[in-house]
Amino acid sequence: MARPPISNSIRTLRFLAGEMTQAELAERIGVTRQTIAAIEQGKYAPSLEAAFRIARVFGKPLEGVFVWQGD
Amino acid sequence: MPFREKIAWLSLMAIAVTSGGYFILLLRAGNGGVPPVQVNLGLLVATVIVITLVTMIGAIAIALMNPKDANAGADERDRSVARRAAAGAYHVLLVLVMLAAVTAHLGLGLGGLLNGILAAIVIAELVRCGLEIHGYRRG
Repeated sequence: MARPPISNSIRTLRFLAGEMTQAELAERIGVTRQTIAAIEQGKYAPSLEAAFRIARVFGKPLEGVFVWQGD
Repeated sequence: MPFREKIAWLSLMAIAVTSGGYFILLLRAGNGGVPPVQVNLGLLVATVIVITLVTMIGAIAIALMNPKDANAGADERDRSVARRAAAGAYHVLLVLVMLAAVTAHLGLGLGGLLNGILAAIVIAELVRCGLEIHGYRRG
């Protein structure tokens, strides 16, 4: 399966949030650190619920974190 | 590496080595590759015990090295990977069991049928573990 056509700015947002670690973010949204790493690398597209949870952690709207890159 | 990927590797290795040993011993002990069912059962019980012990001890060792990961429940990605792997393995199992059933008509007898079904289960389980590992590697 190809990579999901969704990019994200989680790495930047983590940096701006005081260099929040992947583990901290993972704990706050209820997934494993490896899942956050996979999302950051664009290898895994999170569920809508997880995407909203991530956006809420950074106080951003969904489109402020995730960007559709497909056609 | 995710905790569940390590468990998948462990299961893959344990099943491949012990089941491989089972089928090699079976063919060596057999009469023209078709051993009596009694021999199969003895080897089968030993194989299941070895797989269970190796997997249990290995899983405990992995959990002790990663207690935090081991205590965390499966998240949405873990469940997605497991679901896709199980779906893929199911189709493999279905086809192989049908092929095993065909052996009953090839004069291989009950032993051949049972070992064919066992091989189908083993291969399907190997496919499931392999697909889980692939799922984690891919994302």
